[in-house]
Parts: sequence; structure tokens; C-alpha cells
Amino acid sequence: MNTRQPQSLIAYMPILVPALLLTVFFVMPFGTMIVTSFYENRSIGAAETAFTLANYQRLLSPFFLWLVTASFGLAFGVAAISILIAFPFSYLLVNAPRSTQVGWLIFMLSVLSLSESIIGFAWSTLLSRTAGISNFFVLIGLVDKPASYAPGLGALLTGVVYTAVPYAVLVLYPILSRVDPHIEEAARTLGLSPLKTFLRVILPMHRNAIVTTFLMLLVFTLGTYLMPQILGRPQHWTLSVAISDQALVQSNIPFAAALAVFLVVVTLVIVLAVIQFGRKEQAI
Amino acid sequence: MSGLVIREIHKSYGPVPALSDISLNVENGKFLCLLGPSGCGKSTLLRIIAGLEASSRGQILLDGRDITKVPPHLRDFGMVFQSLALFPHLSVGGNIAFALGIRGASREVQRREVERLLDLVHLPGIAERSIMQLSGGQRQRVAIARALALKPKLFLLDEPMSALDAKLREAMQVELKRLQQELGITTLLVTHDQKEAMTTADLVVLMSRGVIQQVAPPLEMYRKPANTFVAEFIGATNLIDATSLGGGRVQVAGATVTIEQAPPVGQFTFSVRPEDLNLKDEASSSSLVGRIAFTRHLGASIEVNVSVDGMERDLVVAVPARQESSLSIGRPVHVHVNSATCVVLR
Repeated sequence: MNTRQPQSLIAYMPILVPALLLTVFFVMPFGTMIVTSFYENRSIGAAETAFTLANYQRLLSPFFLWLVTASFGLAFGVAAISILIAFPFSYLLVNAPRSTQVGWLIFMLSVLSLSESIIGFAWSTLLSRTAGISNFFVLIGLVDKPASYAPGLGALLTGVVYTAVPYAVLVLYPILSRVDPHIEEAARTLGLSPLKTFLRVILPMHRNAIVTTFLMLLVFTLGTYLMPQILGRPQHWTLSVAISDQALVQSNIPFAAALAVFLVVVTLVIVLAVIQFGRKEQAI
Repeated sequence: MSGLVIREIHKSYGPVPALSDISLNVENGKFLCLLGPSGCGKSTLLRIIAGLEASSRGQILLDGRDITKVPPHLRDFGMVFQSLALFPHLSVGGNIAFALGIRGASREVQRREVERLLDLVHLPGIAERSIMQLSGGQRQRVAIARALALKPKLFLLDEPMSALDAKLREAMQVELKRLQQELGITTLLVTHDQKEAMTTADLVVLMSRGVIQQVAPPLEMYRKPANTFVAEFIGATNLIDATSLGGGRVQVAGATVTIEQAPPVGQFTFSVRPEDLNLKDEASSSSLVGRIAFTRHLGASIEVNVSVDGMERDLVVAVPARQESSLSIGRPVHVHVNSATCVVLR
């Protein structure tokens, strides 16, 4: 009996350790944030432990409703554009020679290793009037005089898509590389051209992978707060920017917490809705 | 000329030829098996016929039409792949009607055709099911139905049964043969399983290292192998080195036996199947003496290894199971060689 107890404890360790880590580093901070979001703000970063719904009521103001719309609009846009680029790209990459594949994957990983601010400032230079690509366009006679593309919505989309595409490729690449090459040959023998094979067989076959990757990109983009400040105008600022602004500049921790909780809840609702939608489609 | 004609097809990957000057005539309605060990070029040949790979040179004619440069979907064949390659996102019906849909057939026509094809492969009423819900054998049948949807002239199968377990595979072989006879469609099946070839084929094409070794009906290939490769690949056999003494008498490992078709002089090799050798207690005018080295029960027969002095390999003799009592190891026996059952190989 004596030897059994430690044995069973050790046997539980593989579950206990992650459970403990999850509680300490995830559940507790998140719980604290939820609690804080119901506190009253007392200027300069201090919060009073009085219960209030004011932080959430403030979310309903037109300004913050616009912020929510803009954030999700940007996230949907970036996710859609990134998938449109990443899926065909991954498909071509899988069918490319081995050395090409390795080269591109290393490039993708290098992009991921760069910090968001470096990428943001690099793009803002590249899209500027004085040193940007518009000068090159003038050189080849495409436009009359150099123009500034940053800050702006186009610049913001470019920057965020640039950071999002490598994630999408790294998720899609292993999925696409497992596809049976005979599937394409079968489609060919049945009378489909390579382009139609891609559109009518490869694309619908990977519907689930595409939806999952889309969700991942959506959540990834919702969290971006540096890019909108570097490459976007104030009207493009996202909920994440507002959160950091409230927490760091305005020192309104309870309201920042309420914004964060709201962001998490809305994201969860969207993810669940998409999953539910996918299930229904499959049932038909 | 009608049927499939393959003229001097050559294919090389770099300096290594995968296929060297393959020529074949397949009459309409025949079931042909491309048989051989892995890497012999049989799949490559099938893929060249399908247009999925280009030949380095040579010509392919189908019913007199040169299809060497025609894209796959205009060559008029249906193909079943080793992995089956069914489209996982489509239903059974969607898979079968896929080619019809591309060609603009109406929904009603598609529905009727799917029904007809599912009846043909004995899977009625499963058109609505998802591919994921099917068993291995059912998927096989759906793949066959999909390949036959356009009523092609040619039916190509690339080792389609290698993923099935042994029992199911045998049942599918019989069913495939029946289906082929029912439809009278010219069929080419690639396989490395000689039993599969024996079960299904009207004509077996045995290949090795990119070269056709022999083209013959299955039984003829078993009875009259063209060379040592064929003799060894098809079934079990004894390959025996001999020296001709003239007049049909030959010397084998110190003994003399009669092989009427032996060349008049010189050394040669002959093949004799285990079931064509007899064990006797007394010597005869055409027998070898040896000792029983090993026995193995195979149910209907017993395989006996007889070691003969002066021969490198044991002779393998298949004897009916009822002779069991006399087969103790080490016992001296006489192996009787019947000239009529021996095949002289050069």
C-alpha cells in the first residue's frame, strides 16, 4: 500500500503538470482580467475594488462600436487576402522541386523571426514618397511623380498580410504535401485541366483546412497592434491598439481589461459560429 | 488493326532505360496482365499508355488511331489507381458521375448512369454515401465504377488490389474478371502478384528490367517458361544444370536421365516443376539418387527437399499428402524425372 501512493502520483504527473501550468499562467491571469474589468477606474493606473458595469456600458458608444467593426473588418480582410495568396502558393510549392521548397520555407521562417516593428518600419519606408517604390514606378514610366502609400489602408493590409502569409503557408504546406498525387492524375484522366483540377478538386477537398487556417489568421490579425500604428491612420486603429492605449497611455486598466474580455468573447463567438457552420455543411 | 497496338515504346530516366523497345498487340476484349517484380517498368508502361507519362520514343495505337501524343482524357480509357484516388469531398455518386458532369450530362442522365454503374459493381443504393463511410472493398468498386462511367474502350488498373487483405483480394480478382467478361472491355492490369495474373488474365506479359520476358496465356507460361527468369518467377520450379550426352540422354550430377528435347551436345539448363517429379524407392533409367533433407506440409501436398550429391541446390518435389509415412528425414530416395514435363531453357 505504501508504494502505491507515490506511484499513482507519478502516474498523474503528465496531467497534473500541464494542468498546474495552465492554471497559473493562463486561467489565473485571465480570471484577474475578468475581475478587473468590473472595477471602477481611479486615475493614474489605480483601480478601486467597487463593482461596476460602466466599463462594458462604455463599449456601446459609437466610437468603440466603430472600433470593433474596423478591427474585425481588417481581420477578415487580412485573413481572406492571406488565404488567397497562401493556398495557391503552398499548392505550387508542394509540387515544386525539393530545393525550391526548402528555399521558400527557410524564407518563410526568416520572415517569422523578424519582429513586427521591423517589418512595419521597413514597409513604411518602402511605401514612402521619398524612398519608396513609387520612385521606381516613376523610373519605368508607370506614374508621373512619386507618391506616398503609407500610412493608409493599403499599406496596413500589405504589412499585416506580409506577416500573416508565412503562418498560413506553414500550416497549409504539411496538409497539402500529404495529398495523394494520384488524385490529380485521376482528375486529369477524367477530363479536368490542371487549373480546373485545382478549383474543382484540390480546393473543395481542403475546405476544412482552409476554414481552420482562416480562423487562425483572423485571431492572429485581431491581436496585431503595432502595424496599425505604424502603417495605418487613426481610423484604421484596431481594438488591440485601443487596449494598449487605454492600459499604457490612459492608465485605465479596468476599461482595457473590459475591452480585452470583449475581444476574447467576440472572437470565441465567431470561431464557434464558423465551426458550427462547417458542421452543418458537412451534414448536407 | 483493331485493339491496342504498342510499337517499340522506349523510356529512359537519364542514362538508365526504364523500358526498352516494348512492342505488344492486344486484341479487343482481352484481359492482359502486366506482371513483374517491382521496378520492372510495368507501371511505367501503363502510365505511358494512359498518357500520364511521355515515352522517349515509340507509338501507341488504339483501334488504328495514333494516341501517342493525345492528352489522357481524350484517349478513351478508364483508370483505377493503386491508391484509388477517389475524391474525398464528394459522395459516391459525385465521384462516379464526375466525368459525366464535366462533359455536361444532365442531372437525370448522371443519376441514371450512377445507378447503372453501382448495379454493375454490386453496390446498389449507396450513391448518397460519403467516400469516408465505405470499406476498402467498397471503395475499390466505386473506383472501378468511376473508371467505367464514360464507357471507355480501354480499362487500365494499376495494382488496385494491393491494399486489400488476401481474402478480399481474391474475391475482387474473380469479380473483376467476371465484370470484364460481362462488358467485353479490353483490360490491362498491372500487378506483381502472379496469382492475381493467373486468376484474371487471358494473356500475361511478364516483364523484368524494362524488357518483356514472355507473353503467353497463364497456363502456357507456367508449363512452357521461355527462360530461367520466367520459370523462377511463375510458381516454384527446379532449375537443373545438365550436360547433353546425345540421343536424348543427359548427365546430371553424376547420374544419367532422359530428356528427349535436350540439345545434341553441350551444357544447358532445364526446368521441372515440383509436382512433376516423383519419389520412388527403386532406381529407374531416368532418376537421380538423393536423401530427404527437409519436408514441409502444405495441406493438399507435402513439399520435400531432396539433397543430391553434386547438386548445389536441393531438388524440391511435391508429393500427395497421403505418402507422408515414407518421408523420414535422411532416408535415401530416387527422384524420377519424366522427360515430357521438363522444359529445356537455354
